[in-house]
Amino acid sequence: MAPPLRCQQEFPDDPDIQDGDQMLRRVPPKQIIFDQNMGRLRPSSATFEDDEDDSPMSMYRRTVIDATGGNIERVMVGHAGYGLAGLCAGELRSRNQTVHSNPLEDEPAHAEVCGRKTDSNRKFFYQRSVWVIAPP
Amino acid sequence: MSTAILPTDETLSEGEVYSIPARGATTSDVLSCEGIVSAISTWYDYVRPVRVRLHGFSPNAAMIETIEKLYSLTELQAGWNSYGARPIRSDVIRHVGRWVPRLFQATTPEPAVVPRVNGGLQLEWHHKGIDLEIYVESPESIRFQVEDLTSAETAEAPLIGNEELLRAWIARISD
Repeated sequence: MAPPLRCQQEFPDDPDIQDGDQMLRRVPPKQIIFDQNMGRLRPSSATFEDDEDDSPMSMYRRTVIDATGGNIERVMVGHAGYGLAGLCAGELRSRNQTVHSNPLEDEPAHAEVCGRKTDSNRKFFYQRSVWVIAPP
Repeated sequence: MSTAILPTDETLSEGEVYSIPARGATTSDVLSCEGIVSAISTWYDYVRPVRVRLHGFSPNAAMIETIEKLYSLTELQAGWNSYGARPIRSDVIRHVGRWVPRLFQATTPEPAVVPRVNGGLQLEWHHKGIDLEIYVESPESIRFQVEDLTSAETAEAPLIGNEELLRAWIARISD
């Protein structure tokens, strides 16, 4: 199954983003849970949802941060208590998402991940996610 | 229900609940009774603490922790996730506050109470090899998804019409 047409048209997948590139998402304290089955803290499935204004889920491209000589902690400034979770672009694409580069004026690494965030997709994302910066 | 709620001051910001154990009222009965719910609702509206003293009950500590975590979601302002999330809907919090005491069984462990971007919330148990998540988008829109990681048995259903199925899964994750 392909990503939804709206995603393909408005947030087309960026071929410059390699499948192995790591994409980052901040995880607020209220969405960090302890999973007894996995034996670790992890993001809740609720972390991997589109924004409420109907725009796709925001993430950051680690390769862009690294290439511009930055430190990944810059996306955590002002967000005490948060964790930073990472997923590979290919893992997102495997669940019918487009990975669309959308640099912002103050953050060139910004990207959007467009596609249906079904329960099974959100579960897949938390299962595959790793802590790039673990919660305190 | 064999309970009596006695306000210890005029505002019912504190109350005491008495039970006649022989009549069999449970902690769930107490926490879901109108007086407690209205006291907690008052706390939400006016940011006023409520203290409830229970006499004659053995409270399920996990249930009480869950209700405390639930009402802590009222603190979340718009944008609480740093990506523009909505505040959590007060009607959702109130509804779940009334429902949790009936949902819990005597040994049900504490779930994660997780806010959602759209103003809803979810209750999550990841316990005894089972993943159970209940999604509450509004009082009228509640559904759940569950997976037994050992047997690969799964279920996904709206709450309405499937209360017994959910009850059975709650029993499986209870100790």
